Amino acid sequence: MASEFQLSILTPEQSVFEGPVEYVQVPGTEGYLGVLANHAALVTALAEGTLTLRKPGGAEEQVRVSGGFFEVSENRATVLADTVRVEVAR
Amino acid sequence: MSSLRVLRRRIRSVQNTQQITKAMEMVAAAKLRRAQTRALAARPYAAKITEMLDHLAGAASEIDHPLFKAREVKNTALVLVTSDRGLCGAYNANLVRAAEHRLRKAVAGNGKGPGSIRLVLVGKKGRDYFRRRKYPVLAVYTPVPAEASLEFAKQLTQELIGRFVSGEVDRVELMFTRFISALRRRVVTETFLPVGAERAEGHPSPAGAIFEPDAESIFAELLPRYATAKLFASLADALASEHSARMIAMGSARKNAGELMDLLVLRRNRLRQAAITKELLDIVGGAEALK
Repeated sequence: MASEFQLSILTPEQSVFEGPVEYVQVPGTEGYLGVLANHAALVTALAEGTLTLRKPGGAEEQVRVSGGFFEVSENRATVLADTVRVEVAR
Repeated sequence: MSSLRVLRRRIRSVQNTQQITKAMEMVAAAKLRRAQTRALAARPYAAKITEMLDHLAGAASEIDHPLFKAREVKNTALVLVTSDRGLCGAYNANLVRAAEHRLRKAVAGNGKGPGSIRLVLVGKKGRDYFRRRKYPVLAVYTPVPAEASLEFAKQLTQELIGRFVSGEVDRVELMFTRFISALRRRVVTETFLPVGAERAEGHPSPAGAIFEPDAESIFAELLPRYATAKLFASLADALASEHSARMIAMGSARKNAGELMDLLVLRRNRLRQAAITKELLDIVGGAEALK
């Protein structure tokens, strides 16, 4: 079983997602990057793009972000997005 | 002694007042719930971006960003967030009083003219008060969006940053009402620009964090967003405070009207009773005389 970590996706107006995930991929300014549990501390700026997260159990969700920041520290990941739009699963 | 007719008219008027205040109280309660949700929803982001800013300030070797640099303060802008509408108790009066106090203190403090602090007024009530008294006003924003709007916060932040960067003002303070609970709120003053002014020397970042592309450029991206988030959270707080103040003001107005009603109804009944008794006595007296 893959280990999990906490992810929160926040915008200035509201908190969009809060919960455990196995994996998250974010659109960094230097290209997409994926994060698993126990990742080293990291801070990066985000470009416009699609964020993909995998919940425990394997269900995936995609969220459109328009830029912002991404931080990982001590198995907590935080996305500070400017605006987000949850994509309908295909 | 007031006549019965005058008394009846008075009762009707008080009754109307009671109905209106009751309706306003309920409307304010409903709006408060929405505004409160919005104000609270804004807090996680604001808290996190503050934490990130602290981390970065500690990590970036050389911070040379115009928004972060404190200058010698010659001109200050005081942003005062009031409401567009009245009937909300002492809500606006408290803000105006605090702002006037701040202005007076500045004049007494440095001996310079009152021009060294200028006002940026958000909301009609603040505008009306300070314009009438000929205070130096830099800008006015009204009407304020009825729901805390990120767009509005962005625009206001941009214009304030513009004034700060151009050197028109060396410091921007933000005065608004912090929402604590439906029953408690407080007028607070915070330094808005330069951004670092209220932050301590920056806490150490998570050990050996990786920055991409690098701490300085993330920092430059972060600063304007931090300012916007802070202003947005303040506006959301101010709106929630306004509705809670109005709810409480209208609630006590309704209660007062109720008490007055009780008193007036009692007086009316007594007067009516007295009139009836008098009439009866007349009839009985008249009948008695005919015997």
